[in-house]
Amino acid sequence: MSKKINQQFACSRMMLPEHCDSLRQHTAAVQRAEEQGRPLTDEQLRAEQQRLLEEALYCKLRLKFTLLDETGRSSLSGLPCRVDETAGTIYIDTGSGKPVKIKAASVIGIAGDS
Amino acid sequence: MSSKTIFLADMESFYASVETARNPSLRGKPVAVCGDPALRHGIILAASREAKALGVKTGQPAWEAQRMCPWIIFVHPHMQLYIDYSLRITTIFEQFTDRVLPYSIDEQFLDLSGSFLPGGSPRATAQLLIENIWSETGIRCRIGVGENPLQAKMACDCFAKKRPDLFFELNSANYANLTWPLPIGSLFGVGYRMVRNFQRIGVRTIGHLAALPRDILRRRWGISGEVLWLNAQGIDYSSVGPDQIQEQKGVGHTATLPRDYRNQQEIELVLLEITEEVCQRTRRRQKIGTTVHLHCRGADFDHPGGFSRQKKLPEATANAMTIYPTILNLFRQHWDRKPLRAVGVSLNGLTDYRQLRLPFSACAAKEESLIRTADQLRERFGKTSLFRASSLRPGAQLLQRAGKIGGHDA
Repeated sequence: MSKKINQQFACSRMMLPEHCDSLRQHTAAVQRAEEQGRPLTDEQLRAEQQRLLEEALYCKLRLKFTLLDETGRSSLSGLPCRVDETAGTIYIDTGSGKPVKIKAASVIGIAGDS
Repeated sequence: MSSKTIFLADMESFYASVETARNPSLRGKPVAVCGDPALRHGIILAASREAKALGVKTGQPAWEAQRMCPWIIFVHPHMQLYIDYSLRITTIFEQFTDRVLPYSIDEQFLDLSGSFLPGGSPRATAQLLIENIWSETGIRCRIGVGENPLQAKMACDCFAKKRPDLFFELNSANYANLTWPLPIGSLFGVGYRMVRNFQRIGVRTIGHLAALPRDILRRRWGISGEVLWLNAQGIDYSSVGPDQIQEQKGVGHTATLPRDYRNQQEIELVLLEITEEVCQRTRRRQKIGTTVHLHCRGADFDHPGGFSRQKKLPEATANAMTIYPTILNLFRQHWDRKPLRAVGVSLNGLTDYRQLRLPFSACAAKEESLIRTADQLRERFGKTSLFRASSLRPGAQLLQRAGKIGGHDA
């Protein structure tokens, strides 16, 4: 179908380039804020994440961790090899030699890594 | 298929309302925002409700408005301020839905389909939006609601703007009854030329158009005719989403000249400046274009001549000095030597710069590096920090237009 039929308003929009630039910056700022904001997790989700971690430690399963720190979101996949509850750290073997140490507080998501 | 709930929010006399919100002493007085008459921008860009009640209209020359209302208060435009207010309003709308599409500086679509309606109904939600906009910005907002963006736009333009509650809702059930008796010019997408075309074939109302077979419209006016037929039926396939802001088919720039330009050298000088501006904006978006378009408007306001031509480039580029010869060719080929009032250049068929980047010769790489450095300097220190010496010659517009938005004071 022609774009004019499908999106007649997008085709006929009249926007100043400066306005478009401001909107782009605004959209990027909103996205950044969303990415850097900590998602709300309920007790059930936290229990499920704890279970996944314990199962992976016991059965030697790979997990994918979603992390949030001051630089934004990132992800890390590997085999959890040790949890230091006192220091609040998790050691993950990513296969690159020395295990990577991550702060448990920076973990916002855990999922199985196939 | 579940029906959608689309809102169109339109800000009343936006520029004038922003000026009044900024300076409350203007409230209740006839206010008109207009450009500088000395630079031929002396037309009314927006008039307050009080000025409109006295017959002042948008697009009217300032002198005419003053004759109708001698005590009218003229205010110079502040374009950046209007953009900031528009963005503030977008932010308020985003508290209700993340699907907001600004259609222009003073109109925004909201898709509230499947969303929690804070007021419980579209009407109550619209009322809440109107109150929020008023309390946070001091601007009156009118809202049209429909099952698609077209119905929302028609509800707003044809009904909500005339109602004291500033709200109206159209849907598939009432669309025909309410809109078909309206004159054809009220239909979205029908301008004065199309009104004339329709009147020639006996179409005077939206209902007359709706009664015509779709094929006739398609055969006579192509896709545009078909879209108008669909609009008359209240059918629209558009969607509302923030991602559409990213879409851009081309980059263009038009300048209304401060006086009628007759001298070829002067016109070509302005064309060079505009080409530079267009290319710089294209490069800023990391794009290159394949087609250039030149538009020249004649000086006679009542019978504007001029022309509009485009040409495909041998290869995609965003280099002004590659595009400018093509612009010059188009201009020299089609200009009838009559004075011009406005000129515009656009670069269309945009593609990603990186995708098509070919290995450059040493010379081209050097030129590219020079262009990039010049862009960075202008980005950091302003448009006038580095410019061609030709912009100091009579007729040049760069220095006058620098720092302006849409040709008006920022």
